[in-house]
Amino acid sequence: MIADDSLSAPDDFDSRQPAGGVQLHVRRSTRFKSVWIDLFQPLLMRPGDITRLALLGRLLERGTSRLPDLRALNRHTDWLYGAALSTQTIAVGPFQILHLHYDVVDHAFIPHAEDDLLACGLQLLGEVLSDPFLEQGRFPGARVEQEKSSLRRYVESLYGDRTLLAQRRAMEQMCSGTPWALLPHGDPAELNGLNGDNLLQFLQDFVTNEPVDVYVCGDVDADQVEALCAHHLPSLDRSRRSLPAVPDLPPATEPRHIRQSEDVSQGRLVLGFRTHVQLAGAETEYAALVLFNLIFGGDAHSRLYSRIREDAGLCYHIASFTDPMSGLLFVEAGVEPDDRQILLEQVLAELDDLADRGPAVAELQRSQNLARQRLESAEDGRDGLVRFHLSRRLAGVETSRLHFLACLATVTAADVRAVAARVRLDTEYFLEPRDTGD
Amino acid sequence: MRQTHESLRETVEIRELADGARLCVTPRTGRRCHAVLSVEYGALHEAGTDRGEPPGIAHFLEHRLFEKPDGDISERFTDIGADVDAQTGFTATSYSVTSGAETFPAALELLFELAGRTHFPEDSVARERSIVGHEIQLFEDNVEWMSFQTMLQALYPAQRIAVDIAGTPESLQGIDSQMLTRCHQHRYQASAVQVFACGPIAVAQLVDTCNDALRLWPTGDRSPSAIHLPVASPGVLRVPMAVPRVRRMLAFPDEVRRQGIALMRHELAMEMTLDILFGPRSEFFSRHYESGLLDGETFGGEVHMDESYGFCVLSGDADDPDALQSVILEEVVQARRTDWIETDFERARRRAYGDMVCQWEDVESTVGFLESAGLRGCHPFSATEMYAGETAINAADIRRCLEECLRPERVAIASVGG
Repeated sequence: MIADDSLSAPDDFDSRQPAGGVQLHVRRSTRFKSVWIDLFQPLLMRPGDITRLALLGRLLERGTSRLPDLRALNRHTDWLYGAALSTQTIAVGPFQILHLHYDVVDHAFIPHAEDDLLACGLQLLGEVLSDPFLEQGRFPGARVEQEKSSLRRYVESLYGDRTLLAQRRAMEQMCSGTPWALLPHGDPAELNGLNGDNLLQFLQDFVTNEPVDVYVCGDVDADQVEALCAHHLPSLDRSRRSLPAVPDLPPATEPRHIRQSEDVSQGRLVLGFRTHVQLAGAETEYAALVLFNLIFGGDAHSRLYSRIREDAGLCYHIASFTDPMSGLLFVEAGVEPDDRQILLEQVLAELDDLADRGPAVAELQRSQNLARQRLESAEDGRDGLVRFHLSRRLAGVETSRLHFLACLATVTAADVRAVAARVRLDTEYFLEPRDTGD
Repeated sequence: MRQTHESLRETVEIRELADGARLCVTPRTGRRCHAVLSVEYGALHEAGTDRGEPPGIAHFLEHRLFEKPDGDISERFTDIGADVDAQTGFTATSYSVTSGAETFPAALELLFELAGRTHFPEDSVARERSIVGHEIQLFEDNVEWMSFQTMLQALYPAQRIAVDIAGTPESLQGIDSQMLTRCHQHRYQASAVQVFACGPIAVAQLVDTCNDALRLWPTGDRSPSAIHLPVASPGVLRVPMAVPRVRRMLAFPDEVRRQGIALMRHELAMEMTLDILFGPRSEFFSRHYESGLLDGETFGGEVHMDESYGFCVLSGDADDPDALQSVILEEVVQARRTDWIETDFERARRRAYGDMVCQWEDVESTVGFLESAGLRGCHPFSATEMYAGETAINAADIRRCLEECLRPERVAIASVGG
């Protein structure tokens, strides 16, 4: 049982709503040498929009009306003792998120700080979103074209990583027609027709109507941060949209087996499973999925790694991971084509064994220790805490990290077995070396 | 000896351990501890196949040390909630662990056991040869790795530094259990060990843990740590690979050997030189990014400096790699005749200063700072003095780097793809 006091366990952040409508989360700590500001503005992934937003993520980094080009922007942040500004689009489950990041050394460590480095940061983020560099009222055409080619090249080079390519192809097969099949980096095929005018229109609508979460971590005063946010960040429309619900996956079908060949020196096998458990579902069940994944293949001492790679020597690498919002589970391995079938059988045999007999006591304890250790030590950093908090907000989960920690400790071997028993193979995808004919 | 840095609000304690080993700790509050056990034995120390140390044996040894009579020792790390990792470099092999404060003493004991006790059954040595063989093959698909290796081959043809740290499938064939044992016996001795740690740590207790653990380590004559001193012989090399665009690399050797703080200062100066001339803030970068010649995602500079070797690299993907190469070389020449360095120095220094302060933030990056100073024989706080104050780096240091190292007549050119 979870003790009552852990249900009201304190949240990692002091959350508030400054005037203007953003949701602010502050974590005050004297542990760090710097202050981080992270602004997240999510959009449910849709064809067309993903490319608009991805391209904007690049354009926003190019300059503001005060700091009109990349060089002016970067020289400004360098002058602030190596502050960093970045804008990019990332994916969390089915959401594409415009992510603005600013970090700067805490003024306490600067010999003669003449600027308020925190205020400079919020001012800069506000300008990036609402006062980008324009020429004759639109994004300059030349910049739009440059960023289109950068985007094309980036997406191309992504797939130079064959492991990633295989994973994407498997995901596209499993989730076609849903946001999960899309990439937050945009689709080069959708770039035609985008220009400095329609991108600006899209941005203005996006910035004022989509919900925003801002995280500030460091030795800062929450009241001061709240005032700075209200002053510098663009105001959201009063009738702004709320966060959309997480969509459903396509219905399950018979397992698919797909083989494609490419110019690779070693085959990449991706197995996609449905687990019937999601981040937004019952918390103990999700905790059991996290532990199941660690025992099955999510860790260097998991069954897949120790039995299939180390003992049987069937592959160079093998690992499993989950997509928390969809509850999909993936196994990914580098394997020779001749060993593919036996590898698949062994993975399924390990899964069956966990479904029939559950984990050993020692396995369960080890995975609980590891999960606890990771969740606890997240406190020493910021990125982990922010991502954990954000993905739960996006999934509509309201309990805190400390509550989830307490939940992990209550998971039994039977809970893990129950999760394993419902895991079903959906898609086997194999990217194999092209037959060179010799 | 314990020292506190007032403005950085950090403490460093350095202690001598048994048999010549050394310990350097930054104690602080928090939940996590990180430690690195560094052994002064890397790929450049390998004496050669005819002397029982074929290329790749340092890395092979690091891999095989994970196996103990009761199985893979990393499971015992996991059992106590600790994460272990290891890495073989050119001049050192490092074993690192991250754990919570309460398990840190046990984790560190395990780390010493990992690196200090051997168990090399012949069948697992044979299996390792095939695993590493696979690993080398897999890396051949990796553009970053292929580029780095090709660049080294162009700069230091036919020398140990230009062969993969992991060796080649052929060089590994001769490795057996007896050879590993002998190599470990000669190379892994207390006097070759430095330990760096950061986190909520009681130093006196840590000293005891280290000294107790070191008793189980090999003793006897340690082979002198002679090293292959790479001698640059810059050439041109192209390697075909299925990539969308050619990766072009220009590598400039640094042929003056330095030690201690002079080495660290030179390394910082070299990084700032590349930042001023070619960094994302440079006039060069914006000009050629706007024209499309330079690819913002892949273009960048790297500095690799050690007592025994030194070089810096400029590299990036390009549709027209020859044009990219010639503008880089022209820029180097042009920079000698202008005052770019002097006018941009303060910006670059402020940025370097902020980055240095932030390196003392995480336990991992703090240990990284302690390690980079410690392995060069410097006190970490002396290293911080390069960034600000009276003895700080200055524009003349940068100009010297430009003139001594960035010489177009000594550049090695490497290409991958196309």
